[in-house]
Amino acid sequence: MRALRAIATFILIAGFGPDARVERLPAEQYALGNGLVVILAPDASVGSVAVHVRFDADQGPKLEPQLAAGSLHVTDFAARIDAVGGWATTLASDDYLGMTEHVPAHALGLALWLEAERMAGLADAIEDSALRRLARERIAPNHATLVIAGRFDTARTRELVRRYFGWIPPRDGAAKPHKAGRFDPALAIAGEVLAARLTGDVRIEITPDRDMIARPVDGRDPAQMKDALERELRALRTQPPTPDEITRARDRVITRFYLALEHLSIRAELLASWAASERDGALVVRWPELLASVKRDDVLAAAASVRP
Amino acid sequence: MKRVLVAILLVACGPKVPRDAPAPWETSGIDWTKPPLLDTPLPLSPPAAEHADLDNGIHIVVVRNARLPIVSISAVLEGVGSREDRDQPGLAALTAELIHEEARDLADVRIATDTMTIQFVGESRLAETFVGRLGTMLRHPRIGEGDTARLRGIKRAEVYERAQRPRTIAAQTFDRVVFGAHPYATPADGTAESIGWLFTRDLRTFWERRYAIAPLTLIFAGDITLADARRYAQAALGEWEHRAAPFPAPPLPAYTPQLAFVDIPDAAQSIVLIGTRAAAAGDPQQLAGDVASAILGGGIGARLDRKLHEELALTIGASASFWRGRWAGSWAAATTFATDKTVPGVRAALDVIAGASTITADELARAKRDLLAAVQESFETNLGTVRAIERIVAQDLSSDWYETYAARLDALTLAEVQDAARWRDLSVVIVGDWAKLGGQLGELGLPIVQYDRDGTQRP
Repeated sequence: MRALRAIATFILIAGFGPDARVERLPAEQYALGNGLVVILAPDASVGSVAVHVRFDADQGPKLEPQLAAGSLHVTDFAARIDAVGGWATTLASDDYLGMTEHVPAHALGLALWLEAERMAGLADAIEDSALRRLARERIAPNHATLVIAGRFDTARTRELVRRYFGWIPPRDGAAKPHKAGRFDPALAIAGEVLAARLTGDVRIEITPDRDMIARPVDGRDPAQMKDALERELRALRTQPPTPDEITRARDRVITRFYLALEHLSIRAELLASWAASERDGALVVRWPELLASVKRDDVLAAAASVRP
Repeated sequence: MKRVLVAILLVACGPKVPRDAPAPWETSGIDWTKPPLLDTPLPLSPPAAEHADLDNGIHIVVVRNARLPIVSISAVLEGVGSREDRDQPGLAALTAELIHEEARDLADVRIATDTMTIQFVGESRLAETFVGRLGTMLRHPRIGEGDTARLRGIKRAEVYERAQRPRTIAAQTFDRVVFGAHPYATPADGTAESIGWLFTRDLRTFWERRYAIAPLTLIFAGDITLADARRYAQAALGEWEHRAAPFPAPPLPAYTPQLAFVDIPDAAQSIVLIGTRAAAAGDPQQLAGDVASAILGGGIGARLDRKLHEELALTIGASASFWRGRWAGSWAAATTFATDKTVPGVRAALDVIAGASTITADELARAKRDLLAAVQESFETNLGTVRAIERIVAQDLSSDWYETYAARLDALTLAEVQDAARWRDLSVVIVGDWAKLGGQLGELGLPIVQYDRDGTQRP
C-alpha cells in the first residue's frame, strides 16, 4: 500500500434536483506513486466490468495502430478479451488515446493484467525508433487515467491495480495537455436548441474550442444542412430561445447523459474525461446540476461564441 | 498539512526512467508470459420483475433499478402489428404513424410483425407525463385527413426508397418464399402502391376494431416503483374499455424449397440469403437452434465467416440468425458475393451449412459462453431490460425464460446442438445480374423461380 496515495474519495450522487431520489454510484479517485490516476466505480447491479485506460497525450492517432499490432508479451489482446466473452475497443484523438474493455466480472484480473502489460510493453514492441520514443514518452502511467466501472470487489481491485500497475515507472516526456472547460453546459444546451430547430435532421457537437461539428442524419444532404445550420445559428442570435425551448433542450441533454452513464464502458470513459478536463472524475455528477443552472443569456452568449 | 502535500507530490512524481530505456520488467515480480487465472463466473441473475394487472386486463411489469433517476417504458400491443394488414399492406404501420403524432417528441413507435411497441425513455420524474401521453395516443389518436395525407406521402417515399435497396429486396423475397400467402410474407410497412390506397376511414376503422382488443403490456424499468407505475397506468388507461381478445392464427401454406432470383441488370454483386422455414417462438428446440446458429453464423470467427471470408476470400462477411414469430419462424444465412463469385460462393456456403452438425465440444462451450454474456449484458441498462421483457411478451415465452436461461443453456448436450444444426429444405434467394448468373444456377439443384423486385412471382 506504500505506493498508494489516496488523494480523494467521492461519492457520485446520481439523483438530485427537485426530484432527487438519491441512489449512489460510488466513485473513488486516487493516484499511484507513479502518477497513474485511478478511478474505481463499483456497481453491484451489473454482472460485468469495464476497464478504461486514457493516455492524455498528443499524437494519439499515430500510436493507435500499434495497439492492434500488440505489445512485448501480448500480440493477441483482442482475441484474449473475446475468448472470455468480452469486447475491446480503442479511440484516438489529437489529445488522447483511449482503450476500453468490457468483460464479465470474473475476467477483471485478466483485463487489468493485459492493460498493465500494454502500458509497460507497447513501446518495447515497436521497431521504428521514432515511434518507439513517442510511445515511451506518451504511454506511461504519469500520463494516464485508469477507470474500472462495474461489478468488482473494491479492496481486491485496489490490490490488483497496485500489483499490476504500481511497478511501471513514470516517463519523461510531454506533459499532459490540459483542456479545461470541455464540459460547458450552456454550449451543450445551445447545440441542442439548434438541433431541435433543425427538426432533428442533424446531430450537433460543439468542441471545447467552440467549433461546431454537425453530422447529418442518414440521407440528408450535407450542403443543404450546412446552409440551414448557419441560418439557424444566425437566427438563434436574433430570435433567442424561449424558456420552453431551453427546458426541453436541457431535459434531452440530461436524459442522454443518464442513458450514457448506464453503459459501463461509457461511464468509465466519462469519468476519465472529467478527470482529464476538470482534474476530478467524480465531478461528472455535477453535470445535470450545471445544466439546470443555465440561463437564457448563457445560451445566447454560448451561441455567439460558436464558430460554425 | 504542508508536509503531507509535499510528500504526496514527491511520490506522485516518482523516479522517472530515461526516455528510451525499456521497461524494467524484472522488477515487477509478475509472470508476463502467463495471464492470471479467471475467477469463478457469476451466475446469470436477471433482475426481479414485479407484476400487476388493471381491471381492464392491461398487464404491468416493473423492474426497479434506482441507481440513476431515469426510466424506460414500453407499451407492447399484440395483434396490431403488420400481420393484421391482410388485404391492406401497410395499414397497421400507417395507423401506428398517426398514433405516433401525439408524442413524436417523446416516444418511439415500432411496428413489427406480431406487435406494435411505443417506447419512452427519460428522467423518472417524467414517468407520469409519459404514461399520460401514452393514454392519449392509444385512446384519442388524431386520425384526421390532413395528417393521414401528409404521413401517407412520407411513408410512401420512405418505402419506395427502401424497396430499391437490394438487401430489402432479398429479405422481402425470402419472406415470400418461406411464408407464401401467409401474413408473415407481407412487408411490415406495406408497399408504395398499397400505402397509396390507405385512407383515413381505413386507419380509423383499424384503430377502432383492433386497438381496443389488443392485449397490452406496460413494461417499466428503472427508477420507479410498482405502486407508482400502477397509479400512472390507472389514471391514463384504467377507464379505457379495453378487452383483450385472442387473435386466431391463419393457416401456413405449404413450403417448397426453391432458388428464387431477382434480376438487377449489371449488378456488380449479389445479395444471397440461404434459409428455410423454422418453428414458431417458444419451440422446445429454440435454445439448441440459437446455439447452433451462433456457431455457424454468429459473426466474425463463426464457421460461415471463417470459411467464406477468411479462407476462401469470397465475401467480406457472412452471418446467420433466426427470426421467430408467434405463428412461425425462419432461419437464414446472409452474405454478399461479387457477381463472378456468386455461384461458387453459394456452393461453398451450402457446403458449410451441410457440414454444420460436426460441431465440436469447444465450439459449443464458446457459443454458450457468448450467449450467456449477451443476455447478462442486456440487463445492464433499463432499455436492455425492457427489450428483454418485450421479447417475452412478443414471442409469448414462459415468464421464467431468463431465470431458467443459464440452466437450460448449461443442460444442452453436444448431440442436441448437432441435431439442431441439421438445416433441411433450404431455399436460396439471389438478388443479382441474371444475364451473368442465370446459366450457371442449374448446378445448384433447386427449382428456379424468378421474382420481380416487389416480390411478385414472374410467370
